[in-house]
Amino acid sequence: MVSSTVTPMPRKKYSWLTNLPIRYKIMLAIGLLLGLFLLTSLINAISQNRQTETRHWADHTYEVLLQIQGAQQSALSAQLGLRGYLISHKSTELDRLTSSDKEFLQQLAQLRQLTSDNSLQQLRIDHIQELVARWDSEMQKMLLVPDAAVQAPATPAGMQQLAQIQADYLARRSVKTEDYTRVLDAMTGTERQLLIERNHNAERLLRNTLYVNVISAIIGLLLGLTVISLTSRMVTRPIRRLAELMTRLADHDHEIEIRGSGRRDEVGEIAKALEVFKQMVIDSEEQALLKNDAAAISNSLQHATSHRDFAERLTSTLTPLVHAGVSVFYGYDESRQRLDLLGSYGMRLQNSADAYMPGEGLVGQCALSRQAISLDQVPENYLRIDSGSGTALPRHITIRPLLLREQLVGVLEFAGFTAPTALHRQLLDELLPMAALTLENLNRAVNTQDLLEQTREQADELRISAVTMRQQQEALRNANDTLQTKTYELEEQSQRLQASEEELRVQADELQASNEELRLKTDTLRQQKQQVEALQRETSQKAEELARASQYKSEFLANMSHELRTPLNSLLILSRSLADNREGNLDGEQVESARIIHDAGSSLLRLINDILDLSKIEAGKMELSLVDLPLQNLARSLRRTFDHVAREKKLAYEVSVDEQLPVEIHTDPNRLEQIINNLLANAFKFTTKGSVRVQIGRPAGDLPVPEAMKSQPLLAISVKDSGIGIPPDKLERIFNAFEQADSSTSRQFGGTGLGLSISRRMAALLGGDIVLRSEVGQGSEFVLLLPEQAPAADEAAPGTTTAVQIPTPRPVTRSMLPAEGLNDDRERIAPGDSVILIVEDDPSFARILADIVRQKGHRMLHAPDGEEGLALARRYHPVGILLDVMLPGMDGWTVIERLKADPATRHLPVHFLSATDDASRGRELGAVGFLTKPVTREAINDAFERLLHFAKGRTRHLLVVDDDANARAAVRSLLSQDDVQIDQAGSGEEALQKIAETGYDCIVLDLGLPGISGLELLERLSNTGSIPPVVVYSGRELSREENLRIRQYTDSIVIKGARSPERLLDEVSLFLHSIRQSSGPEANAPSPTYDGLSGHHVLLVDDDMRNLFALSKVLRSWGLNISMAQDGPKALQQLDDNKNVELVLMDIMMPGMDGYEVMRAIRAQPSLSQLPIIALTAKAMRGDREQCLEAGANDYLSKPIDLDKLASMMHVWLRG
Amino acid sequence: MDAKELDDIEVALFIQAMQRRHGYDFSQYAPASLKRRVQQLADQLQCRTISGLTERMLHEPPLLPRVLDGLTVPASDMFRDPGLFRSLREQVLPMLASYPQINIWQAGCAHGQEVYSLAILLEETGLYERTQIFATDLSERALRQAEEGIYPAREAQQWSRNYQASGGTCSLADYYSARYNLIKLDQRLRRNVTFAQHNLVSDGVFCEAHLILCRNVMIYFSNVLQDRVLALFRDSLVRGGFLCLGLRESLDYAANAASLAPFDERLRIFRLASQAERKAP
Repeated sequence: MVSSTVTPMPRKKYSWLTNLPIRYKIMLAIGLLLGLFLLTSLINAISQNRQTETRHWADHTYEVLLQIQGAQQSALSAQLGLRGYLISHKSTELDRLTSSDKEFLQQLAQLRQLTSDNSLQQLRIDHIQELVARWDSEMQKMLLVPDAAVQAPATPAGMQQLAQIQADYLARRSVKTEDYTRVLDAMTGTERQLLIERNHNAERLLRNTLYVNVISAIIGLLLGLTVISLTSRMVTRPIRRLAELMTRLADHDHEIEIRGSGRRDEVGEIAKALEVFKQMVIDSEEQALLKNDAAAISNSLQHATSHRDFAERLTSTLTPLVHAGVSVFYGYDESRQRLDLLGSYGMRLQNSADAYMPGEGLVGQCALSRQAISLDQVPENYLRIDSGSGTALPRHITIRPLLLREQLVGVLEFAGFTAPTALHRQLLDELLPMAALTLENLNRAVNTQDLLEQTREQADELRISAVTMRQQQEALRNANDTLQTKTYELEEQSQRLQASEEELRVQADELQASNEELRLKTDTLRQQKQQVEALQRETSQKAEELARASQYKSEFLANMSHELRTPLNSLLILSRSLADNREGNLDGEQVESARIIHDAGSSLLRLINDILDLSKIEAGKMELSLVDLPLQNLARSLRRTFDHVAREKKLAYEVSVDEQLPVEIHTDPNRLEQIINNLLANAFKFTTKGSVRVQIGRPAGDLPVPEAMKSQPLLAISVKDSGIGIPPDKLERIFNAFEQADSSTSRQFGGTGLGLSISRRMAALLGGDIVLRSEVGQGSEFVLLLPEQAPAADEAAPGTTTAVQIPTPRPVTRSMLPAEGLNDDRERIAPGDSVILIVEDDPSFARILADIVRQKGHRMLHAPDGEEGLALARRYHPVGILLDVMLPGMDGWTVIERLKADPATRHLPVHFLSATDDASRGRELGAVGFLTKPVTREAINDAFERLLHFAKGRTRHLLVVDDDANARAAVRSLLSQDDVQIDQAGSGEEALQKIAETGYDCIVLDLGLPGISGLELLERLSNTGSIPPVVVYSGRELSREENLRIRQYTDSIVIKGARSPERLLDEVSLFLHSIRQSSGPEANAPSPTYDGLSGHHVLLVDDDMRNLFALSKVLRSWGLNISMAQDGPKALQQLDDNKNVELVLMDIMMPGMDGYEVMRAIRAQPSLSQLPIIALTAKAMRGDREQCLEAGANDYLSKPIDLDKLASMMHVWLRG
Repeated sequence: MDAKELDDIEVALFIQAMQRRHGYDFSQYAPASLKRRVQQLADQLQCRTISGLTERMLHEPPLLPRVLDGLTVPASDMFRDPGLFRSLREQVLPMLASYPQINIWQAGCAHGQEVYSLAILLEETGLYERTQIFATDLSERALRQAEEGIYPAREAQQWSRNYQASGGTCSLADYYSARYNLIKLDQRLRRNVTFAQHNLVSDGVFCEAHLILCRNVMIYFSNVLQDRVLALFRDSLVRGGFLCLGLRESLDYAANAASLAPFDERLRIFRLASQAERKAP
């Protein structure tokens, strides 16, 4: 702390000059000097000027002189020129003259200008001018012109003239050059004179100037010196002094003395200012110190970490600074509105109160009023300032509040011996707000600390709970994932369950439906059962009666038929043989007789047949064998049968079948034909002229259809004739047995009269009826009404079995002939022979049969009864057995049963020959055929054919073609059966040879053969025309191309493998065992033939080889040339290779490139864009047609293909 | 009129609309199951009523594949009923091995699981090269999916078990690659397979088949339709060809079944009876 006082200095008295402000002083000094200087300069300048002028005139003079000289030269030159001319008269001299003259004049002009200030000179110039002019003119007049006038200058006369002129001129001229050159000289002299004058003037001037300069220099010097000393004394020194003082002051020397402050000039001002300045420095240093202190304290306070610390710092630093002895600091607690003692300095603790409320005590008062309190007079009993060396009452107490933004923060109290100085007060003023701020900050900091603590705790808690939550979240997520997986699985399962539920439900539905049906059926059955039981009782009684009756009848019938037919049989055959007269050893009469016998026998036979039929029908024993009969076949057969009759009787005969009829009807063709034949026979019999027409169609509307038949679809076969007609009253009666319209008719027309009644009864059996319309003399129409489905015969069965149990003991008559009388071939049978066994007790018939057998080239065995027949069959394994039913001992049924029961003989084909008509039973038991005696030769032949077809004896030749002998052996052993003859061939050539010799029923062909390949073999065979069925048995896999080629010939291909033997066996059996009918069904069906298609070339594209070959076969039969391709690329290849394809039949569904793609590819080629393509597709949906057409087809057909439609389509597209 | 009768009317109208609009005739499908599926389809497409479904089907042509999909239930597995596949492997395919070329027709292939199962079977028995498989279905959508051969990976476990049970010689995983929860079957299995759309109600014979599989398709057909389909199969099969039906299907009610003789009754494998007549193509 600095304290200083300034003692003022006494004022001094100063002179006027001293008091003159410095600027004036300086101005004065400089002004004087400047003035002097200026004077000198002025004088110099004048003198200079004069000098210049002088020089200028001098220069001028020189110039004039020069000019004059020049003129003089010109004059001389002119003179020279004249002289020259005068001498020589040369033009060059003349030129020189003129030019010099000119020059002279010019120079003269210039001179005039130059000397324009000098009038004397001007006169002279005038003079010269005049002279020159005269000279010139003289010259001109007197010399030049006359010279020029001389005519011939070159001639001596001329020259003389010239000389004359010249002389004249010289004599007469007045002016000479010298005249004016003299003048010029004079001018020169004048000028020179002038020059000298002027030079003198110049010198004088110079001298004057010099004097002046010297004087002024001296004056100047003196003046200067004076000024310097004055300045130094009055200005420089004091200033320097002041500067010194200032420097010292700047160096913190506060003891400086300042003089000269009384002066009234600038120095004085500076001194005064310096004094003030000194004071200021002192003050500011004090302030700075103060501020420093305050800052230090404040800084220290800011480092306080607690309230106590703060108070401590505050009091301890501040109290010494304000020279107090004791100080106390109270902090204000806002929340409790209380002033708490926070710290003290120099206090003895018991003296202070810990807390004041605002308003309490001075401290509280200060707090309340927010103003400083200072007490000067401290009462006695106030606190004392204690120090180690004594105590005393303080003299002064200061209480100051700490305020921050008008808010009380604390109160500070000082007690000291001296009152605080202004500086102290200032310090406090400075410091306390900062302290308040700091305290506030401290408060806040402490708060913040507390809050931070809390926050930290909370943060910890949060962290813990966050961890917990995360764990929970993890757990939840896991659970979620698991749930999701489970949900997927459940969904899947539910879908599956749904599907299986569907299936089960459907099954359940079906089961329910069938349950229902069953239940209904059960109910119905139960009812029926009851009824049946009741009826049964009745019927059993009646049946017994009937049985007995019918038994007699049947016996009779059977006996009758057999007894009657057997002899008739022989009679007919033998008489026929005789009539045929094969050996030719009978004459015409004998032949005729034989024929008559035959005819008679035939008629008898017919009668017997009719009677038997009738009784059979009556007895209900007639059987029907119901099959599907094509109506066209029926019509054909009818035509065939009666064609020749019609021709013989010269009657028109027509058989027609209506349209819109079903192709087939279900009926017994034999019986049906019998009926119609009967009707036709009648028609022909009773018609002598006109026509007989058969029409097969629907019943006409006006036809009286019996009620019972009205409910079904009916066929009406009408036989219309233009014969004698039938009178109305006889219409019904003719159907009665043995009646004819007129008893006389039988005599005229023959016939037994049985036919119609039999026909009617048979019609009834077939479920129909015969309706008759007739007019006498016009003709008759017999209409056979038939249902399309004949009712199944169910009454035949029960009766037959019981009735035909003929008691076994045979009438002995049959064993009249020796049993072994027949000379059979049992001794002569060689291996490889085909043997036929005849089991027939009637020797005559047996003999006939035997002949036929032998004729056919077979061996014959004969057994007269069943037992021997069985024995022979077992022993000799014949290829076929002809078996009679009526045999002694064991009958034919038993024989066949035994044969079939024995594995050794099971496969032997059996053909029945019987007097009884039991075809179905025979077939049931496994016979291949049934012939009813009496038989015709043709029938017997047919029977043989059938037998041998089945017998595999003559046929059933199998050829195995394989180059590997082991393979052949394997196939042989696989396929060998007793009825199969297996031949072998090791090469294609060998096979061809064998095939040429023998007809084979089946060939097993390996493809890999030496020589010609299997494929070539097939080709060659097909070229020969008749190729037997071939089973290709290949050891290696086949490519598609090979497959295609082989398929042309056979569709039976077996690749060798684990299970191939099974398949081979199946295929071979199929071929060997199928009945080959002479005309297959395909050939029977009328395949439409179309002209106009033949010769065209068509490409078939289909991956289904079956289709391909079937269609190609049909198309070839129409005369078309066929190329085939199995897939798209091959089709395109074919079209590339083969340019004459006119139409393409394209299958759509093919693997790889489908039909659409192929068509598009075809259309993409410009050359094929017009090629007709017909698409064949299995698809029949609405959009498929459009798709085909879009892809490029011209038309389309859906499978199965209607051949007619195909043909007409091809017609359309192949045209043009 | 109660709700059930109303439903029946709506279903009948839907079928008629379907036929007239798009040409697909569902009238011969078994009514109860068809009705269920139509209702389900209506639910899936968020139609309030079946008539709503009809409306959408009529006026939104792009919806057709979805509708077809919904009406033909495509749930299936690979090597479903392993016993059948075992029998195919051990009994039927050795028989077919004797043919130079084998055509197999899978009618109603849905998403193709069975087709690929067959392909694997053929590969393992060495017959694949000479076999052509025709896989047909009514739904174009299902066919496209079948062509891709991509299935959810979670199925693979069950299918592997099936495969093993059917006598598979390797592991099912040898035939597929797995990624992104999906498995994709090997492209090579598809090289001899032709996928094509074919409607058993209206379309005809398109190939001669040595083996036809039509499993759990005919249960959705009425008896009349079943008869028609059997006739179609009969006409398509070669001599001695095989037909496989679903384990719960039976041929009892169909007249054309007479031409099919049982080969393995329990597994519903039938064989064409050798006396059957084959009509001209």
